[in-house]
Amino acid sequence: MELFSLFFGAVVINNVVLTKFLGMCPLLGVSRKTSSAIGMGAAVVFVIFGSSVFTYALYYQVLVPLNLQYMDLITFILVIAAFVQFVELILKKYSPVLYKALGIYLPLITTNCVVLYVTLFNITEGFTFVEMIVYSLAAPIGFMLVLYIFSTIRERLDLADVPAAFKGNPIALIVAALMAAVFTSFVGLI
Amino acid sequence: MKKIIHLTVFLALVSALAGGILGYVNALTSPIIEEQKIAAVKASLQAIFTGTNDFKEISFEDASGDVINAYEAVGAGYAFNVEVQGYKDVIRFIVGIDNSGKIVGLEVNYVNDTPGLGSKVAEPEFINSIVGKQVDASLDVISGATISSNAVMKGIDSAAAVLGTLK
Amino acid sequence: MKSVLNYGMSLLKENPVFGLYLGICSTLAITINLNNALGMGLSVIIILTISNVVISAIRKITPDEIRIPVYIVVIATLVKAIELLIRAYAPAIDQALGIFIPLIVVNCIILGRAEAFASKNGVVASALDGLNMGVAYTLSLVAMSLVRQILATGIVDLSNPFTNTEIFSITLIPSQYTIPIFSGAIGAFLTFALLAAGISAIKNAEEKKLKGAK
Repeated sequence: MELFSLFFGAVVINNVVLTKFLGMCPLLGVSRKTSSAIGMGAAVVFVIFGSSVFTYALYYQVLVPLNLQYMDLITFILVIAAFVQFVELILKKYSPVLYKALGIYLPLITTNCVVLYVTLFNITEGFTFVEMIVYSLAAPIGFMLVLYIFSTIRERLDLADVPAAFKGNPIALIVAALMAAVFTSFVGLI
Repeated sequence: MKKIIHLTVFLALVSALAGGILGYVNALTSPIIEEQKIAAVKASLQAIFTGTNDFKEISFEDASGDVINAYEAVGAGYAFNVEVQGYKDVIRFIVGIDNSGKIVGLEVNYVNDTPGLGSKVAEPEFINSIVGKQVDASLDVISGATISSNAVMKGIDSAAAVLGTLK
Repeated sequence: MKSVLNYGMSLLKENPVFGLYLGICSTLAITINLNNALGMGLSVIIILTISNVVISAIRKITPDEIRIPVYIVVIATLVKAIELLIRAYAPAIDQALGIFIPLIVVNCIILGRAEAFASKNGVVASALDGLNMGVAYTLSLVAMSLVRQILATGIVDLSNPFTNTEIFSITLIPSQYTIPIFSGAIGAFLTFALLAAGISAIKNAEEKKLKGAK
């Protein structure tokens, strides 16, 4: 039950995008088409899950015994960068279409704050291994969910008559504000 | 091959340098950070137990998982650093209970619930309604902030349970 | 006077936050009040300036293939050092900004300036660029935090982070007329959208004027 509320809380109530404001660059950048939103979301789920397990093990098995906790930031970001490189290689080989669609955003996962946030959050919250697994799946799934919903709205938005000054990102942010209103209304459910 | 070695060595060198610098900064700051932490707790403890200056951290067993640290104010009572789930974020507070089981102080250190509603648990009106009561007495909930105030009360109950195991 | 005006104009048009949408994650998250905005802004100014200087200084010996990992290591080192220093000397800022201090590592402005400017220019020019960009970022944070804090709480205050004493506190709106929603997520997105729209309106007007002149 605790794990379920952790999962549900991370996907909806404490959604990383709408309540923690993380991963805004890809949200504004790749959310124009539903297909690339799903691709990006899946890549992020994979990268976050993989690098979370890796950094969690690294922190407790290597850094803590050596008393090198202050090296966490450097090791974490390097692990994430390596992982992204790995996903990029795989996509290039097996799904060139997706690789082309995600284009420059793939290397940008490295600087996607959600990834670093989740790996750091696992440590600062003192999660157990199981909690860490649940959270590292739930947080990026929440990201993917918002990215997907956002992309379906933006496809419509392209056809709408928007005031000149609001064209592009400002109106997208208004949409985000409304979505945040919806998501935060789940607060108190658990 | 030579290229790869060159690249690896360069990156390793940069990382080693970075590690060295951070090690130095860490050595410089970690005693101060420890002091800060102790000072922050001590300020809260002193606000709760005005009579004594002798505090020590004690080990304890906690079934609820809410209590983070426990302190003994020698001769006066015990204080507990508690973290509970509030409305949308955790609430952290220190509660002091004297030897007769009376709540002598409540210092809310962190609350991130809705301003004007849940945030009221950190305000004097709520704190004064709790301080002075026995830990097993019933406490009043703030209307409009039921979840936040119930969370604080649950935390106080957990602290009282830990206190029970200490005696 | 004219140069000040020009600087103001370029600050608006080439604003890293509202114009180019860089580093918006932390902008949205921490601009709840002026204190947080200034704390974050100053940290970014320091980190950005030093990282630009270091990266510019080692640009000739850094192998091209691994330049990004090297930049990341340099930036992460600086951020961690600043994080430790803040925790030691200004715990109030550490409490308020929390995990958003380490997240400066992935603030796109810093890596962006390293790649676009510092890796191609001299040390002095890079330092100035870092300072300039950092100040622009800080001003954006301050603008946004002022809007949100005033609307949400009606009060503007500033306190010294090292001693935790209040410097000033002005009440502008009586508390019964405030809009608490602006301190939350919805207010963050709305404020950002409106400020960004305002800047793009200025840009549009400017472009029209240029076209008219031709």
